[in-house]
Amino acid sequence: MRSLIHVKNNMKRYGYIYIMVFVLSSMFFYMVDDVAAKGLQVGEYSVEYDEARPADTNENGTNDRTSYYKAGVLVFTAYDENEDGKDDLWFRYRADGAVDLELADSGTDGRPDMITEVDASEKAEMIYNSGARNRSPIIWIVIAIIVGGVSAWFVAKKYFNERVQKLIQGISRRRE
Amino acid sequence: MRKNTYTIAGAALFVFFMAGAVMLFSEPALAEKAVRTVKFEAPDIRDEFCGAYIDYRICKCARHDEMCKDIGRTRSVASFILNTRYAAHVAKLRAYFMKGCITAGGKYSADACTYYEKTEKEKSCLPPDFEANWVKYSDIDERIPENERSFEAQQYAKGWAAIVKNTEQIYLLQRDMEFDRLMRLEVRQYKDALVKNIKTNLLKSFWRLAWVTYDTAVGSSLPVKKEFIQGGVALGQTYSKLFDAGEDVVVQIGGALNIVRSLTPGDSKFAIDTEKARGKFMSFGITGTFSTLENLPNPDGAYAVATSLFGEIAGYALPPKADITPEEIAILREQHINKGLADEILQESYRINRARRLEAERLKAENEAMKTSMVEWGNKEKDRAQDAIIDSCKK
Repeated sequence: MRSLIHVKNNMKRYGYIYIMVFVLSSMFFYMVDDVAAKGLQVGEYSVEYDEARPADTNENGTNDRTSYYKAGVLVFTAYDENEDGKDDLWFRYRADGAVDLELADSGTDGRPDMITEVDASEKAEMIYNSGARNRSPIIWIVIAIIVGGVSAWFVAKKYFNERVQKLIQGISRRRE
Repeated sequence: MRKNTYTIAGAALFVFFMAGAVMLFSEPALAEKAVRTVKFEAPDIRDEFCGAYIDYRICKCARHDEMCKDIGRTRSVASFILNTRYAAHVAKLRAYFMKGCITAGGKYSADACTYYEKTEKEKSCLPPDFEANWVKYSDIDERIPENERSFEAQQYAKGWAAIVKNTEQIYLLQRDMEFDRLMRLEVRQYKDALVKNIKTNLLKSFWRLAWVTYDTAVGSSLPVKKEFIQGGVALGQTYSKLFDAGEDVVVQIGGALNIVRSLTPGDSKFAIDTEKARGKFMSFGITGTFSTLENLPNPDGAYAVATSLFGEIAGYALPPKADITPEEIAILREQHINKGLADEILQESYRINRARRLEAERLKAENEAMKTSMVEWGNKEKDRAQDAIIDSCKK
């Protein structure tokens, strides 16, 4: 019982110190981790880096390229080709410095919608392009016909009902 | 009112039937009789393409969402790959079909090849070599002034000229892409030697790069659009930053570098190769028939040309004072590795080459569309030439 009281008193006395140490050490590990390795997420691809170097390649006062390094090795490059503040072209590099992946954003949302893989001999093959889905125009024509047909039916139904109502009213008046 | 309506309707019907009778009973125009039509059939994607021309697992993943993990793809990516490769395969087969149709004397249009039989009158009027050499009886002749050619021949000539010009552009773009790839490889090897301080490799790579850079920088007479060259900088000039950045580098290695930099456009093997390629394409006049499309230099041959050209230029003899002192090596390491200049050049090279690649793909797609259009204009010009001969024969 005494030992429990002793522990309780110690906790009251040193509890604040324990909490401070815990909070400070958590902050320290978080900061160290943040400095040691950062992550960049581009679409479904993530890249770890520890240094980012912006550059203004066309010397117009706006940074349009960011080079990402990890342990002094170039791992990723991001370009803002249209200089709208959002990156729209990315290259990922292998350990030997050659590109193995190319991502591009044809829109303005900063998310890649074109993915091209580059093999060891630097032959490129586009493996995804969300803007190039083969949609058959027939589907759109069918959809348009259905939508048009349903709309026409509703309009005709309303018009038909009104006409019928008027006809019935007319007949009733004549009978009267 | 009713009588007038019936009268007008009756008159309209009478005119309609009379016109029909005239058309039915008038002397039929001389026309070849279509004997046989063969339609182009695309292969079945499941039975004739999957497994034979593409990894069956891509098909499984794309169509059934199976085995996606085995190939490390999502279903949407597998679907895109499948559809793209299938479309390319069908386009190739269609091109073979079209070529076969024309060679066999048929007419290709809208994915079908129609073979015609001539009437007796046509056979007697037409020269015996008309089928094989109809071009010489047509207006597809560069000796005829452009405004005097038939409309069909003018359209054919426009299409042909555009294809030749595009093919030249594709050839040079592909040559430059391959050349740039070899330069990037050299830069990476140079970086590696610089980091590891392997002097023999470093010297070799440094001077190879110097020769290639300055030969292409002075010899760049690219007929391609300036969009493919960053800020108007042509192939080679991007790499010249390796040798110009920082006065120290120039001052220290300046003597030997100046020998390299004294290359003139006339000495540039790159410039000579570009002129040779352009000359080859310009020699194709408008008299080319469909078979000449096959004789056009294959743009894919540009890769071998680039490899050979790179080897020639990089193999220039070393300047008299080719050695680099340890102090100079330290300067190079500081500029090219620590300050990231070599990486900067590699990044820009990839960016520019992406633009070249996309343009080459666009031009190839344009050429494929134009070839089909040219075939159709060729058919129309052949018919016009044939009709002209038969008409003059009747007279």
